Amino acid sequence: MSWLIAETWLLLLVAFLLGSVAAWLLHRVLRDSARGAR
Amino acid sequence: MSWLLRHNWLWSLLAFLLGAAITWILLDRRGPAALPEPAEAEQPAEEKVEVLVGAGITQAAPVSAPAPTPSPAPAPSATPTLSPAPTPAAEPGPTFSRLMEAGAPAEELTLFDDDTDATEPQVHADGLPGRYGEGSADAVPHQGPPDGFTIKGKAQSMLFHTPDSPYYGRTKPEVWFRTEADAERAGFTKYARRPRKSANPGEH
Repeated sequence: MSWLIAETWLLLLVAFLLGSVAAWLLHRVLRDSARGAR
Repeated sequence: MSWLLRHNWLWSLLAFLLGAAITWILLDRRGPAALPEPAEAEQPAEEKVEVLVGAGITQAAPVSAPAPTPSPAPAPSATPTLSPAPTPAAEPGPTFSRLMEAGAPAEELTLFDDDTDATEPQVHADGLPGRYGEGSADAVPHQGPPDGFTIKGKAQSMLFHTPDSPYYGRTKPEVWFRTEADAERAGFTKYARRPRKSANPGEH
């Protein structure tokens, strides 16, 4: 049971990290495209 | 693992969104001008700055008018054209009064202040053009630009940053320019990713 809880937390952590990476990439892409469009 | 994901997908999604939101906010805060809509992102920050130094500005205004006059004698000769009768003594020492005005806001230093770049600032609220002529206004530390002035110039590097520059948000201007043409006329070069003195700095 405790392993299940740990795994759940791990899953949430991974999801959080994935969200951060996705936002960072999106931010970078938007910034670059905005700069290139000029 | 798939079982776990199936039963916790909502929480995973929330964690994903939370991570994305936090990262986005942090990135935005670090470089607001790098975003596609720099003007909107920049506006609140400038308002905040004006609120912070509001007291300093009101104190700085009277300081400029009665500039200290050690000797009233040289006043008339030094003001041939600019100032009419009421303030003949304000002109003879422009650098001195400028330094005095620089001293006034310095008393209002806050945690956010970094006055290393504040060399010889000049109040532009009096409508006079800055030291770089028409279309320029000398920057006052911790105060937003005059209306219509959006371009930041650095005298040290002789570069100017438009709102599109990735360093626009973090650049502490020494002079504001109304247009890129004004800045170029004053001898400034537009910041490019690799700064160089090219004939047509507008290109990328």
